[in-house]
Amino acid sequence: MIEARGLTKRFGRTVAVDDLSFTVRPGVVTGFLGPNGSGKSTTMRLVVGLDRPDAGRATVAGRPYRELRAPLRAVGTLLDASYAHPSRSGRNHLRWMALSNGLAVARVDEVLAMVGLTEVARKGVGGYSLGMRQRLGLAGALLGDPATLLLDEPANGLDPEGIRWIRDFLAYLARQGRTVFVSSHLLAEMSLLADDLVVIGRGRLIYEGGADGFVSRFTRAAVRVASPDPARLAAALQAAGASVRPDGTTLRVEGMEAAAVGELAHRHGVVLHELATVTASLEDAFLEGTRDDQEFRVGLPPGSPLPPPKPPA
Amino acid sequence: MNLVRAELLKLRTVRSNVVMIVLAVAFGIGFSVLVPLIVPKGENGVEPGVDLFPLALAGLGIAQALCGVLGILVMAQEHRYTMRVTFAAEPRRWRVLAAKAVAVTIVVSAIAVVVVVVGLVAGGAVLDARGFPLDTGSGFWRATAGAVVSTVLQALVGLGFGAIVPSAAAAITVYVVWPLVVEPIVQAVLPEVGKWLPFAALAEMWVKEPLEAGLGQPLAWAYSLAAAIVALVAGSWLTSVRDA
Repeated sequence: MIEARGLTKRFGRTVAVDDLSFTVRPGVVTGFLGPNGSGKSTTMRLVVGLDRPDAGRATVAGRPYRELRAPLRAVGTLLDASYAHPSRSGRNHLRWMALSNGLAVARVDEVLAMVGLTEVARKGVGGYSLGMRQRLGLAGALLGDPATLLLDEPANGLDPEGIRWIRDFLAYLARQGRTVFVSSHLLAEMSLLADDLVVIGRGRLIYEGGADGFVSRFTRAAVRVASPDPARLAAALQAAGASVRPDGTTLRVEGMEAAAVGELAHRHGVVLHELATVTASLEDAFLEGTRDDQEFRVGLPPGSPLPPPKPPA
Repeated sequence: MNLVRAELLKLRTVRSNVVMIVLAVAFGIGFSVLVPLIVPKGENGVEPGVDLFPLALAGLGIAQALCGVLGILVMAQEHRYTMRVTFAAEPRRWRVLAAKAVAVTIVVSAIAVVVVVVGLVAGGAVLDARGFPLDTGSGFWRATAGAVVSTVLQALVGLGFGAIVPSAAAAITVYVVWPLVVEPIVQAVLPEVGKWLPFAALAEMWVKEPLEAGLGQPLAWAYSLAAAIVALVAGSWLTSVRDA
């Protein structure tokens, strides 16, 4: 279990993590979400004792990370794929990690096989692709067979097969009762992977709890309906208290179930060509939930036409 | 012991470290042979009554500088690449610095013994062939031991300095410029102050004859050892209080 209580970290005048408290429970995969610059990586560094908090504390299995002896046996950490010397081989990178915590060197070859790097294990890390470095970082996190895993963007740089593999593997680790805490920008992946979510924005907690609860809290259920007579249908729906707005060639209806929409159309003799419940995605919920906390916004609102290119001089 | 083994593995599995070790040995021995071979006879060269010990170890100064740079590189590689993995594996950072100090001591001791022994034998043989046998009498063995120990202490000063200054380029520049420029100027202008400068004390450890304006042997050894300890303790403390 990972617990953060009142974690606060400032860099000069910038408050990167602001009185953040959350609990990551064992046996499930907990996703860690937040916009760019929201303090996810800083929070992970605070949890593993790499940065010192200005206030608050974080514990892993009930103890501050800095008090752990042979911590690789308790906590596996993947913070950045670039944290390996380029002229050192992948195998030697893992060998020094294993030696430092008194782990058997045989375990190095096991984790290399586990992440599919056996064939390139004796090559310098400088020649690895981003995906291979990511796998090496993951091998390092798994080295001590830890009960807790903290992984910052573990799918970064992986090909689709690798992404699927890591998703299945993390779910497998969680089913074994381990604590798995994963940050990712790949919201579609996170929606398939995470049971629980910790969502932050500008260093503050926005949401903590089940992934389904996050979606339902920050999105509204809707019905998509298409009809050859949309004006009549929209008037009938609004008269019945639903909220209706055009969405391309269809209508988006909020505040009424799909079955009720169909029955209402039938009563008014309106023909329907399409009637479907629109399931809100984790991405929708994330964008809604962190709308006020996006530090780096694009200049154009969604759907705006791009500015025309300048004519050649 | 596990940490020391890990640090030894780290040290020998990075190409730039291996290059630095090879260069230290090659330059250390090479100049110890070459300089006695080409130095002229007579005034300002080899002549009766001149202490030949520094001539027979003409390459040691370069080897020591390269060992100091090796010490800096050992920390610089952490700052640049692996510090977060290292401190996640061992959160008690002073233990990492201590293990690095032991690893550097082991490796640089081996370099120093090879450079000093081979340098003295080969350089001494060249001088002997030119009619100037090396005097192995008074002070020879103390100076020989001083040559080895001061090389190790220079590497440890480099290690501590590398921990204090996270930028490898800045650390190496200061480390090289300081003994070549700053200390000679201070020694020329203020000799009473100059003898207390760290590289002057380290150099005094391996002179055979007492220096007129030096600290004296016991003090030069103690002062150099203290300089290395201060650099390591300061580096360890800063590394422990900084964010990784």
